[in-house]
Amino acid sequence: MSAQRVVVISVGPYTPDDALAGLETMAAGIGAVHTVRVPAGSSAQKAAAMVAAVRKVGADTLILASTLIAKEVAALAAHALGAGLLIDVHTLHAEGESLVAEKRELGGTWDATCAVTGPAVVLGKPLTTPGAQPLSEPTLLELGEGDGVEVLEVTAHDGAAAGPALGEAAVVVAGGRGLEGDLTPVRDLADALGGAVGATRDIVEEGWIGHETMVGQTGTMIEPRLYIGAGLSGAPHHRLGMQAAEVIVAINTDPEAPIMEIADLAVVGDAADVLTEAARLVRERRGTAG
Amino acid sequence: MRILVLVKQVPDITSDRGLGAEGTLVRESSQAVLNELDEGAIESALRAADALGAAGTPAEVTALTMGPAGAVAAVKKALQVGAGAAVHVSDDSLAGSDAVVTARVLAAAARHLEEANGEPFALVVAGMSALDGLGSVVPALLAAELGRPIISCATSLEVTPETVTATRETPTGSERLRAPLPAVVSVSDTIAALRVPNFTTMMAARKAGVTTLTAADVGLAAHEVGAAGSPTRITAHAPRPPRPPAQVLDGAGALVDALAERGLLEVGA
Repeated sequence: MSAQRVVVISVGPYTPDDALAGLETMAAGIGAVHTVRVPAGSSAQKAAAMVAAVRKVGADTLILASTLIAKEVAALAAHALGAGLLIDVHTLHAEGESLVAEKRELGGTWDATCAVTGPAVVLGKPLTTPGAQPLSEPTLLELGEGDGVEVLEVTAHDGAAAGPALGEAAVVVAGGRGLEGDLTPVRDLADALGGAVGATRDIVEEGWIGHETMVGQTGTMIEPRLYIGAGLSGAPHHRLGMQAAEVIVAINTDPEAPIMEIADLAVVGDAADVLTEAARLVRERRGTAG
Repeated sequence: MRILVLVKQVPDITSDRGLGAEGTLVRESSQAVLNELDEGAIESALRAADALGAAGTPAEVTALTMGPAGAVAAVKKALQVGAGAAVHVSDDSLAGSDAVVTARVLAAAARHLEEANGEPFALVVAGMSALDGLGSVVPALLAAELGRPIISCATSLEVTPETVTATRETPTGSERLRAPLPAVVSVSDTIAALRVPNFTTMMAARKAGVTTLTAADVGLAAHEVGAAGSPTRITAHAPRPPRPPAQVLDGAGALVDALAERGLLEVGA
């Protein structure tokens, strides 16, 4: 019999519904759950708001969806609460006085179970189901006291990509240098599969596509159900970011490319041709107009 | 003024990495390299010192690392490109420290150095993550421990004697943030490439030497650090089975058939 915890799930101004639903699934069975939403502001202001919410309901567990900015907020909140941090975990359950989590380590090559006794701040990477609806309506919090950091300017990307966010997408189609500057075929297959577009660091640095699509430890770490990498070799940084994917498909003219070593399915061929043809066939099967 | 840069020796990501008996990372010196993201941190710290110097307030960079004996290589690298001082916190009692304890030790070391220097570090610079654990929380935990503002994941920095201004990417765009000094920042790997050592900096590095500190030196008892002081622990770990060799398919048609067989055409949004 596990002790019941009191949990606060905190989401940001832009967190999609399916991500909140995924966090709720993670927290199910741990204890009583309260969901809150924090408005845009500095990380310290958001952390202070979350800490106040945790104290108000007497919670011992705070759960956020893991992003690089959420990590900054979570660290500040954990420090204020004297909590341990469980980072980038998929599942949670209570065992006696401990909160236990499963995660992947070393670029998805190891499984680890980690535990914390006492207060916990969790950065969750739940496996979300597209279109999942949350059970709760989060309470909107007011920002707390900052740490002196001023937000001078916030710029939104022009025409932020349609489709799911890269970090939460169940399907990711990623392109590399083999696309020769034109990512249209990558977008085409991602769109047909209802997935997100990813990219390697070198083509982001070339300016072919925005930084928000970069897969890797300084871009987005992804763990989708299906990853398709086309026209990319599988450099260590990219591999570190995607090799925890459930099914890996590689499309490359070079059968010896490193990506082929970790692929489940491989097609030797021109990336643009294979992607474009696959997108057409997927639309036929899914019965969606091209 | 003084600037502190945090660096870390990590296993090379192209080597065969693993977790040892306690579930903590195997750190063999033979496969250890400077965490690649820290190159941008060292360069950013040196440029900040240059900018402050140009503004009439000369600044010196100190490099700080924590880790086993071999980790000293990380601060030596910083000395070779122009850091003025190097400090290595090394103590058997630190093994198994989680992120919370790592930040506690680094903050204690920073405070110990600040007392010796008689002034705070105007800026602490770190890489935004280490390629071993990828937790990315130590810089913000350290800032909280020191009671200073934090800006993480900076893709550009401007440092004046009073403030630091940074740009960073967000999931939906970008932000510009400003904080008063003293402050803590972590930087993205895209911020700047590390300069190469020159004869002058190499000679200065030889003379500089490295200060080694224990947990006790920075005012921490054995029960406050390492696995003993860490709120989190690894309770089980195992390597994932290697993927079987790829099934090679002939063209897009065969690929789409294979995805359909696995039920993967419907998992997307």
